[in-house]
Amino acid sequence: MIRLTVDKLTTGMVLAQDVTRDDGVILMGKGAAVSEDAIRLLERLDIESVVVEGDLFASEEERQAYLKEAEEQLDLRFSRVEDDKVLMAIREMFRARIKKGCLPPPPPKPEPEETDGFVVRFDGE
Amino acid sequence: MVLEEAAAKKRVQLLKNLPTLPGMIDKISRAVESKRFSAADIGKLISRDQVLTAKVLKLANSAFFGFSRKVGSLTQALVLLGFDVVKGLILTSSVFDLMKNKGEDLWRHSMGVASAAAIIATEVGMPDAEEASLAGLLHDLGKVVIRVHMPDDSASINELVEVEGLALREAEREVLGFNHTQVGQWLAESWKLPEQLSEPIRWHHKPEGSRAAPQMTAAVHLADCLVRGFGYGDGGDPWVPPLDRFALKQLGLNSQKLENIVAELCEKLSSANGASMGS
Ligand SMILES: [Fe+2]
Ligand SMILES: [Fe+2]
Repeated sequence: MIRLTVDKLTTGMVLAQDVTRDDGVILMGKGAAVSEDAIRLLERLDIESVVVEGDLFASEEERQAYLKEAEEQLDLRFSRVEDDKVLMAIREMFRARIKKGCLPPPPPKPEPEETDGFVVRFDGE
Repeated sequence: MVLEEAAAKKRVQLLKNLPTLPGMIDKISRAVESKRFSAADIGKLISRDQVLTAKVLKLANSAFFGFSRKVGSLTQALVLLGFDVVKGLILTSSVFDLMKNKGEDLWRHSMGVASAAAIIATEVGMPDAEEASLAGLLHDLGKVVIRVHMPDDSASINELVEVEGLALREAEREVLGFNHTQVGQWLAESWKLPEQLSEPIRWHHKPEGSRAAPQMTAAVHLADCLVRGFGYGDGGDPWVPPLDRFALKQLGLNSQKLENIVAELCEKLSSANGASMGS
């Protein structure tokens, strides 16, 4: 499964998790096909992102390259604590997870500066 | 040295007036202290500020917080979570508002640490996972203040991190003579935060310093290490800091518990499964 922002949805995708409102009410159920109407509805309801079936990668090579990069980043983050046995154990726990596809989301794109209004966003949980 | 100290103190004094809290907090604090008001009264008081209300509820209900029940109203939030937690949520949204769009990465880091602290607290059987979550959310508040109120110093600090490869807290000390944990402590004092929140803010990089809340502080310390290890958000530099042994002992962790914590954290924060928290 993969989490996509609503603007990246295309028709024919299938929801892999329920879409719920803040108060827990289910808006669209797991397994539902994404239609034009559904996308418009999600936009109107201000839903930031949903989880759909599918994969991030177009090919196996692409996946491997991505995982390799993720592992290199992992090693870099732990590069200053290599003499700590516990942290090394933790690093390997993370590595095992990464190999199963459990990856941190990519960093958010910096947004254009805005000068007015509220800006910290608490959306999309 | 004397000069440096004087300069640092002056800065501190400048900082102490900042950031100003919503006048709301004051009013509410007084209402709470007077004990003549019910949760419903206080809920009503906060509800007058609709933007704030929306934010507090959204935070309270967001997946990372791990509150077991959906919180539908402010009154309910006050009853379920208590005033200190609601106050903490208000503070968090006020302070992060200061950062505007620039703070997405630190916001994410804070959400991640909130998540991890709650997972740790639950795994080791601490009674207050929700408070741990809040302590995690607040732990790096000092960084926000430094970025927003000391932009020039902040630029020098970032340069030291990027060019010299210093850890952020070392760079802060180098440039300012103090680091974000101290700034956080000044804020916590002026906001009268309880020790369960202020001690993790002050001691999360040096957990043995905590006298009044060593376990909570240890949980936030480990949470910070884990979230950096997983690479979720950005705490100001890319490196996992040393893991304090005192903290591990405080938490009574063994490798099985640690494994459980890591598994749950990955699950929660990963791009596929987890809530994509706050953008
Ligand atoms: Fe910190
Ligand atoms: Fe941190």
